[in-house]
Amino acid sequence: MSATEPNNTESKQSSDKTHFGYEEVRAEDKAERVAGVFHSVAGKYDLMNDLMSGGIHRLWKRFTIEVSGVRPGHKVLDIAGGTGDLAYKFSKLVGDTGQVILSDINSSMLSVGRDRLIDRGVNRNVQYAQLDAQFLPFADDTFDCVTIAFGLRNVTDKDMALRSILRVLKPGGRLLVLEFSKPQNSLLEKVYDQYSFRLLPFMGKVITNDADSYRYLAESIRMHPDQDTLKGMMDTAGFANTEFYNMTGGIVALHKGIKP
Amino acid sequence: MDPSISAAITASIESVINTAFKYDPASQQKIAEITDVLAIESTAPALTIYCHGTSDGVRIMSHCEAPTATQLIGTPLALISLLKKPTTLAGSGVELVGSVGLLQRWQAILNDLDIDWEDAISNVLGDIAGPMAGKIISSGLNWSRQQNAEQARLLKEYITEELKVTPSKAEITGFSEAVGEIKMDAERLQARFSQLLAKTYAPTNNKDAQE
Ligand SMILES: C[S@@+](CC[C@H](N)C(=O)[O-])C[C@H]1O[C@@H](n2cnc3c(N)ncnc32)[C@H](O)[C@@H]1O
Repeated sequence: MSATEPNNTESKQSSDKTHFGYEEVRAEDKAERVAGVFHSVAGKYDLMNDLMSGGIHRLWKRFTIEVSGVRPGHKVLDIAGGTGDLAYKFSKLVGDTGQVILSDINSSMLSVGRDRLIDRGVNRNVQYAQLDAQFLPFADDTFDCVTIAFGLRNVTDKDMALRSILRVLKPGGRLLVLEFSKPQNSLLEKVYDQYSFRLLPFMGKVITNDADSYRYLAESIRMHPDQDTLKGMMDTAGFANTEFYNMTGGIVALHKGIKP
Repeated sequence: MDPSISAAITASIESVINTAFKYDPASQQKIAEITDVLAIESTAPALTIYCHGTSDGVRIMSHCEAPTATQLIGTPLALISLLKKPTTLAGSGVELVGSVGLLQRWQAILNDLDIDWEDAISNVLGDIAGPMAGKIISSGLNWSRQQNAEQARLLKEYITEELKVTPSKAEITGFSEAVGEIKMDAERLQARFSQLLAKTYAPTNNKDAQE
């Protein structure tokens, strides 16, 4: 299915609408449309990630790991973990006494991630789970740290996901949300717009033969809440000491919140 | 400093040191035992990096959630000279807060490692500011005596080649040659034009004269 193909099942009466990129779709359909995108890009996801960001996504993730404060013995959940970049680093940090769960809603992304970690010799302390950020199947107070990198914007009900994360964190545990945000400088914003709306779908077409999926990514980035809005959503969900770090001029922001 | 830049700096330093450890497993084993965090604060550029050992070598961070055991504060040059060889703090220009033992353990290990810091730093800076700027900054750190002339040359190259703000001598020559050609072309054109004009108007002129 093409990601931006008109949605035939969309009903006019439906009141629960949400965004799929710039399109309005029924809330029930968003997950399926997002799944279409990631099934389609899974195999070449890592390559695209490097090309799209010029490798900078590695630095964003590196900083995320530093802010996580994860150390030996910790239990970490990486949501929307895709191909497992964060999970790999966490598995080294938590050691034999800790535990990392690499999770994603999408089986294709998860299996690419699992293969990659196994290839890199990680097997002892990482588990894999196919799950939806909105409905986390874990007991209350389970994790020292939960991360979601470039995933929250794909989630249909973000507030629900934030509440669900808060529940599974231990008191004192922290949530880190790494996500595209609002560039802090209007020139940078313009350059970035040109890049993501023109170059990105073009690269997507050349490399994965799927411009639509990358157009969705560009659109979904613009629809995602900006720095202050996301911080407010985390406050509302019940997180304490919420703060964010702008990276690369605010193209990306890392939000942090602690479970009280 | 933008976290993506400080992350790039720490990632580069980390990879330089860990590459050196690959050739020196004994040192690597020693560093793995240093789990306390050493903070190194450079005053200009203002940047603090945090280091501790792991079984994979050193870990260098631009942000640290763990408490630090020792903090060193100074200019990059003073910090590097202090870390490179086991000299004393007195007169080093570096201020130390916390345990001096941790510093001595790092000194002992780094002294054994064969790292070309000058080269490494130019590379690190080069990744961020462009290769030429990296060379200039590190030459400014005064690694050797006869650097001043070298630095002036590099700076000139940097301004012309990398920033493209002032034309180079070759560019000026090229430009003036081009101007010269245009001028000659224009003169030739002018000459042909006058010739044509003369041909075209020669009879008319006569006619005009008759009228
Ligand atoms: C852009 S990828 C990010 C992958 C990885 N975290 C990274 O930073 O490279 C976004 C991921 O979010 C997943 N995703 C989308 N909706 C989700 C949901 N409701 N719950 C969990 N994961 C979801 C997608 O399957 C996809 O793998």
